[in-house]
Amino acid sequence: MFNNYLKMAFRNIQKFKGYSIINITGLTLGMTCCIFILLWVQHELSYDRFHEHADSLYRVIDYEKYSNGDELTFSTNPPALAPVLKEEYPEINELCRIIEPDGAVIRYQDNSFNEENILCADPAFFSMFSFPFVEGKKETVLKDPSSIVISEKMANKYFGDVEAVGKTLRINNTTDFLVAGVFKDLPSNSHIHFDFVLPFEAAKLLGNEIEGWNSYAYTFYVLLNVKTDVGLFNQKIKDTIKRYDDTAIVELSLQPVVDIHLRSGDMWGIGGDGDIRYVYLFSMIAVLILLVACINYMNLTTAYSGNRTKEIGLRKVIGARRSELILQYMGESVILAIIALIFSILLVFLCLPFYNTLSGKEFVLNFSNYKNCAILLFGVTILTGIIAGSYPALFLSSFKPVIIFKGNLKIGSGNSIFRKILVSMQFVLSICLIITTLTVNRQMFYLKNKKLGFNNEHLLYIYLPGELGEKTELIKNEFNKNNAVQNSSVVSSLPLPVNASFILDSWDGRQGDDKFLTHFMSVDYDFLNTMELTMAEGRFFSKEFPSDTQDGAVVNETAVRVMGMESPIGKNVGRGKIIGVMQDYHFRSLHSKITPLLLIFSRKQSNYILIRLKTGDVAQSLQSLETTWRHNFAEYPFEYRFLDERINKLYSSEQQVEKIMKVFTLLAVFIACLGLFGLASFTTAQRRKEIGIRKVLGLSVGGIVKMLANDFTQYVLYANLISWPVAWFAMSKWLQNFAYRIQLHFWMFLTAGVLALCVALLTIGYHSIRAATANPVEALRYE
Amino acid sequence: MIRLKDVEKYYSNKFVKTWVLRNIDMEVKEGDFVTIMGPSGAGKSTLLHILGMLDDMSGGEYYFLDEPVHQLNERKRTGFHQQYIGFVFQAYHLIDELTVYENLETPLLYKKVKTSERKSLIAETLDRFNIVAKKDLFPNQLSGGQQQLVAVARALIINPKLILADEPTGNLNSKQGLEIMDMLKALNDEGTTIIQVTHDEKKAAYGDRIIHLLDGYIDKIDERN
Repeated sequence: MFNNYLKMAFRNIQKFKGYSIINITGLTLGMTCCIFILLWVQHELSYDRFHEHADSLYRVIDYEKYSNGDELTFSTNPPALAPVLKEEYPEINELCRIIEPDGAVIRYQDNSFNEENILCADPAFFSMFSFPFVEGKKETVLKDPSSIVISEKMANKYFGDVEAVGKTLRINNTTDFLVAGVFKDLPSNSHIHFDFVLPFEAAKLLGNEIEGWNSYAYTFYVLLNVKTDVGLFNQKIKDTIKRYDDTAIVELSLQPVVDIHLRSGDMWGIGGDGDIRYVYLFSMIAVLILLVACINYMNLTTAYSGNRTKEIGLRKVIGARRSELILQYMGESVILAIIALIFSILLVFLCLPFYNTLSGKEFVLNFSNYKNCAILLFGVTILTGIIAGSYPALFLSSFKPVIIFKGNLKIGSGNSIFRKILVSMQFVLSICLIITTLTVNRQMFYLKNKKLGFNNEHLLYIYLPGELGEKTELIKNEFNKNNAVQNSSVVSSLPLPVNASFILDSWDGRQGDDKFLTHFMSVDYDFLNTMELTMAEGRFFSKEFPSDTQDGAVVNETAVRVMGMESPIGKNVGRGKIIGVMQDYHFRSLHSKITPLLLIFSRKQSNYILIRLKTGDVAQSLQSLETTWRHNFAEYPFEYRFLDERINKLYSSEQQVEKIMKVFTLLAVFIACLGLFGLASFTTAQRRKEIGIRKVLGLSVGGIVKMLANDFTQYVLYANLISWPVAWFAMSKWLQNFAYRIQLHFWMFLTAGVLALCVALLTIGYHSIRAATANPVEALRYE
Repeated sequence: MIRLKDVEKYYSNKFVKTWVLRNIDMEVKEGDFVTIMGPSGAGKSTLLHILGMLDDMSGGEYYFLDEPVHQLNERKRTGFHQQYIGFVFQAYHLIDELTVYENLETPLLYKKVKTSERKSLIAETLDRFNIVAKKDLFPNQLSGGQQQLVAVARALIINPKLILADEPTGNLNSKQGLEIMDMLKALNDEGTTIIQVTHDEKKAAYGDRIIHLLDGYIDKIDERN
């Protein structure tokens, strides 16, 4: 029986080649999209699940609520919390703290590089997390305070093919560390990224406090006893810090490590650049695109079913039950789906490199690795076949056997209403996707072009590792001699985004218990001019006022507003005095509103030098900067970055979404058009006689094209009615992620609608014009 | 075997009822060879379709082997096709995408006949109809007569008790037509009940009884022999 169906299926594919090609192409494209999206979704969901203890690993996170109502969650804690947690809570089997220092210069013999992916961690790190080792013993590596563990990639970079263990690396040109182990390069689905792991104590060397309750700089991971009830345990640890630090308002809780990537929301800290909502969104798009492809199949199959009425009737006459016919037609669509699957796997292989560039990931289609993926894929295929085949199967099998004696069957009007609905649905999806793409695109354009309150062009920065941070006077002098440099300023942290913050709880005119979170950075005299910021009131740090270096403070307008000051100049804030108020500038991503910012003067703890280049040949300027650098600080590598890069990075996940969205929208529209094309060929063929008669009666070619186009125009118009509110709702939700966002304009919806209409008309144009210009006698002779 | 009581059939659209069959009473016994005759539009084919349970009737009662067909569901009726009824049509009606062999095989597949038995049945039938050499050809590679031969073979392969033939020789030349008729006669002699529709007096003469239809009514019944 199965053989019989199989033969039928293949012979039918051969017989109706054009129609089969459209069907298979549609399904192939739909499934290819689906596979790509599934690869991405699967990758997002797989974050940190490769750890052996993944289910018992948690990160300690913090929650603070301020008197002004602001709330904040973050994932860093003071170093002194570690012994407390360990002693007071037997539920914690193991604990480790990690910190990611800004960077360091690492030297082996004559080669030195600026390295950023550095971690300082407690010895338990490698026993809690499963990062396999290539050389060395993971149990002991971090116990020796002068040891360092490096990745395979770095072992290659520094030592080539020679064994790395036992070699010495010098950090910031001062301290030697002995390579004790080499771990395999991290998988891309780890929320932590690092190439070097130093012992915890080394954090001090890299400029961090490693004791006490003040420095909220460490990420804490705990391995809980398997039997622990996390809900109850969260209650237990909630007030731990408050018990040791009277001024603290922080509440502790645990976050599963496997949730970090996708469910960290706005939380500050390591990882969390994924977003579970995008996973849902893309999964939905995958399903919808597949649905569009299925609708195509249904449409074409029912449209062309007239060709099969004879067979169906005949099969019924010779004893086929309806269920057997349903099985046969479902089977055919499943076979078609499997053919499409084979093509789409080929297509995926071909397009994978392109997709990897697009998504910034490194996907591989490897079924031995992705057993679940393979099963899923096969499941999706069968499901596609069944869904796509369901309606045609039910429709075709419902024919009464006598139809075969009635000549060619005209597909009834009831069926055509159903088809109209299907086609409209395809357009609903297409229009929704177009609107989404437009909105995301506009918003990204807005983010990139919004005035940030400072001039971000020609602004670059250089990291100052180790002792360079103390030689700022010298460095500035050297750079200022360079003609390419317009201005330079040394700063403790980059001006966008500013990372350091503290809770401000004393200022003149403070009401009761008020306290709020303020960001801060230390800068020098030239910060204002280098950034091209504007003062709102008072003055900036100046050499003419020596006291500025002692207690001068510059705040932004928002800080003044939050503190509720009328005339801020001269007022005390914290341990300083306000000498000036600068106009607000965006020092964090545009996802969030501008918050208070406080600047103090310092040239001692500077981590970066900001340089504004004169306008002119940038490449040449950079070269001259490098010459200056090599001349004075040859032992440190010269590495610069533009601030713009850093700004772009704030929106990397949105940019990725934008790119992927564009491609999939294009594909979805294309698939819909494919279906429309097939359908148009069918309807014009069905109306051949009518067109012939109308033409004989004197209707012009234009008139006929218009008549044929009318039908399809209707679908698109209905589709607009449905998709506009849906897209409006979804997009306003998405835009709420941004504190600064575009308005949804009517023209965006109109554009999408008109675009869909144009594409639809172009698609059916070919058939319409061909039908309209055909010789009417030809058409009429048929009857 | 077959009993029709006051069977009627009409098509209605919003305003008009078009009658095709009215007041049909007839009885067919096992082993009969009945011919239905009448001018075009008299309702011959419709009656045959109703007898073959391919079409619904609008009213009346139909008993097949004492089962009330008018009350049966589709499943049960399909059972009757598989079990008892073979059809031969004027326009041969083979499945174009299947070879002769596969066309013969299909009803057996639906009847869930075991593979070995199926093979021997098909081999036997091919042999009997002398079309062994044609078994791998598709219908469009055969002449009309050959196609009709295959259609008859397909009707017979399930060993039906009743064969319904709608102008089985209508599209054939006279020699081929005679062969087919002789075959039907031979089957009838072996005990198979046959009901055929024809306009052709000579073909009608093969039957024991001729039912004349006119405008949907039974005009008269000729008993032969």
